Amino acid sequence: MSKAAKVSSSFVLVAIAVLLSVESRVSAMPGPQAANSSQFEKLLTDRNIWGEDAFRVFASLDRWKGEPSILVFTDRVVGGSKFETPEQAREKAAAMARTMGRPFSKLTPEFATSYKEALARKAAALQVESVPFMEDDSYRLQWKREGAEFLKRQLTMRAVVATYGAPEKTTTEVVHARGDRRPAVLTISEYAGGMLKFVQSDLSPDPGMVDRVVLDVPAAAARILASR
Amino acid sequence: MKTIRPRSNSYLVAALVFCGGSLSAGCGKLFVRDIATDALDPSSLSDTEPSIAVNPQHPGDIAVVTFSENWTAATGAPVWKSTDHGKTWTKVFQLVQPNPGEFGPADQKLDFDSNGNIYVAELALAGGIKDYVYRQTGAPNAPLTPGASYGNDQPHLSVDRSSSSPLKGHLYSPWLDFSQPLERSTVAASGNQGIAVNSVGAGDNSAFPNRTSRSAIAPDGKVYIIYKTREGTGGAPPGFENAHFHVNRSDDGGLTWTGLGSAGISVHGAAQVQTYFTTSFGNIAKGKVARARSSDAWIAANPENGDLYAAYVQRDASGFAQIYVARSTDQGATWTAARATDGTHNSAYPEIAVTKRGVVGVLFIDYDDAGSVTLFRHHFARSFDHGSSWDDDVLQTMNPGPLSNASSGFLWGDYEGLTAAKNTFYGVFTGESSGRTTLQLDPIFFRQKSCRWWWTGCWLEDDD
Repeated sequence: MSKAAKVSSSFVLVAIAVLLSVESRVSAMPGPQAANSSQFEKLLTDRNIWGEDAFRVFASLDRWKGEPSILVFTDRVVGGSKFETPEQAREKAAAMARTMGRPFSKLTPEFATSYKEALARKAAALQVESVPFMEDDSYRLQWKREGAEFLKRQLTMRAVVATYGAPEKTTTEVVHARGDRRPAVLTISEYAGGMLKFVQSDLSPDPGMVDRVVLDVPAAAARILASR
Repeated sequence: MKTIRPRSNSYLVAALVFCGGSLSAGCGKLFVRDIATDALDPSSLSDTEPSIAVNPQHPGDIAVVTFSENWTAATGAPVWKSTDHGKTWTKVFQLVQPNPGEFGPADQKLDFDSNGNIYVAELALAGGIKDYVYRQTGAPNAPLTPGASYGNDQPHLSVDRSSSSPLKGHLYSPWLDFSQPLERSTVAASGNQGIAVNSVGAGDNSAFPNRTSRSAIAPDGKVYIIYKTREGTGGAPPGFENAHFHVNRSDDGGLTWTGLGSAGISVHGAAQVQTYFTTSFGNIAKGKVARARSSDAWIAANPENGDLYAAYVQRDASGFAQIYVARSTDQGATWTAARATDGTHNSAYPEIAVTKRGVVGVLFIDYDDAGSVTLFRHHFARSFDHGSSWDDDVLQTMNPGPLSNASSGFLWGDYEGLTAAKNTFYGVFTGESSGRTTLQLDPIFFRQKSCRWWWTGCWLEDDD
C-alpha cells in the first residue's frame, strides 16, 4: 500500500469513528418528546404541587373520559368542557357519578408506587356535581369534598420556576363572562409540551399564586393508567 | 367629614392674565398626571376601569378606584387618594373583603355625599355575584363598611348631594339583572347609606335585553337612568348591533321608574342606531383590541338647573361609530341630539359631566389604524354652548402593543372616570405610564378648570 493510500484510509477510519461516536451520543440524548414525558411524570408526582387528594383524582382519570382537560384548584377539580345549560351539565354529572363507585384503575408501576400511600388513605368519596363556573358563566362538571386539598395552597409560580425552570411558553387569556363584570386575565405557563399548564388569575387574592393547574386528561391518563 | 381650609385666590390672577389675552371659547390649563409610581404599584398592575369622585366639601380631595390590588382576608383593596388636587397620590387599602371567600373588586364605582363621605359600589364574586355599597363609618382612610348585598352585573353609583333635593343623602346603584330571561337594567336605591337597599327594575326588557345602565341625579332629587335595548344585528356590520338608548326617571327615590313612561324616552328618536357590541374595539390585525359592550352611554345632570345630557355611540353616515350628545331641558321628556366627534375615526367609551355653569365635558376614546399599528387616543372634549360645538383635546395617544400588562380584549375596561365639581372637570383613564421603570398601563388623572374667558366670576371662584 502506498503512503498516500495509507494516509487516506486512516482518514476514512477516523471519519467513520467520529461519525459513530456522534451517532451514539445523539441517540443517547433524550428527544424533546422524551424530555417532555420525563418532566410530565415528575410533575405528576410532585408533592410540592399536589395535595394528597389530587392523586386519587389522577388514579381515576378514566372517569373523565371525553374531557380534554381538567382544572385542578386547591379545593376542587373542574372539567374543561363547557356546557351551555345546567341541564346538559346535570346529565353528564349523573352519568359520571355512576362511575364513582368503581375501584381505582390499575396504575403503571411508577405511579402505583408513588400514589400508593394516597390511595390507601381512607377518605370520603369525592362528590360529582354540575356547577356554574363563574369565570365564563358556563356550566361544568366538578369533583369536590369538604376539606380536600387537590392543589397545594400557597403554591407560587416562583416555586414552580425554581424547580422546573422557566415555562416553555407563557400566554395571556382574557376570559369574558356573559355580563360585563371584570374579566379574568389568566397568565398561562406551559410545561411538558403543554400537557400541564400553571394558571395565575388576576382575580385571585394574590395573583402571584397558582390559581389552578390545567391537566391534559388523555396525556395524563396514558401515563398513569396501566389498563389503557 | 367637613374640612375647612384657607382659601387662596392668588393663582387666579395668573389664570386671568393668560385667558385675558385669548379669544378662545374657554380657557383653563389641562393638568395630566400618571398617578401610579413604582413605589405605589410595585406589581405593575393594569389599573383598568377607573372611576373618579371629588369631595364636594373640599375638591382638592380626589378619590379613584381601578382594578389594582384585590382584597384578601387580611388586607383591603385600595382607593387611590389625593389631597392636593391630584398632584400627589397614595393608596388607601380600605375596601375590605365583604365576606369570607368573596373575591374582588370585580366591578366598582365611587362617589361622595354632600358631607364629603366616600361611598364605593363593589361587585364581589364567590359562588355567585353580590354587589355592596361601602360607606364611611370612621375616619376617611379607615376601612369602609359594606352594606347589604344586592344586584348582579356592573353596579354603578350616584349619591344625591344637592342641597335643594328632598332626597339628599339617598344613593342609587344601577346594575344589570341577568336573572331575567332578557337582562334588565335595575336600580338599587337606599335611604340609609346602603345599609339596606331596594332594587327595582328600571329598564324596559319586554322585547329586548338591556345593557349599559348609568345614572344621574338632578338637583331636585329626580333620578335618571340611561340604558340601551339590544335589538339584534340585522344590517349591522361586525362588532355592531342595533339599539335604542332610553332614559327613564324616578321621582320617588327609586321606588318606581315610570317618570317618562314604562319604557322611557329614546334620546335619539324613534329610529334605531347602530352601536358597538364587541370584544374587538380597534383593529385586531394591527395590535391589541378592547371590549366595548357596555361602553356606549353615559348621563349627567347640570347641578344648577337640572338640564340633562346623554352621551351615546352611534355609527352614522360617516361610516364610523361617533359620539353623540343629546340634551333635554324638560326633565327628559324631549331631547335634541348632535354629534360631538368629527366623523373621521371610530369612537366609543363616552363619559359625560357638567359643571355648575353648564360647561359640558366628554371623555371618549377613538382609534387610528391608518399606520402599521392601532393607536388609541383618549380625548377630552368640552362644549361651552350646551353641546352645539366642541373643543377637543387629545389627552394621550397610545399603542398598547408594547405594554406588557395590557391584555388584548380588555385594555382600559368598559368605562372610565369623569366628573365635575364647581367649575372644574376631573377625569381618570387607563393609559400609557410615564416616569415608570417599566412602560405599562397606569391610571392617568386629569383636571381642567372650564370657564369662558369673560366669566370673571368663574375664574375668581375658588374651586377649593
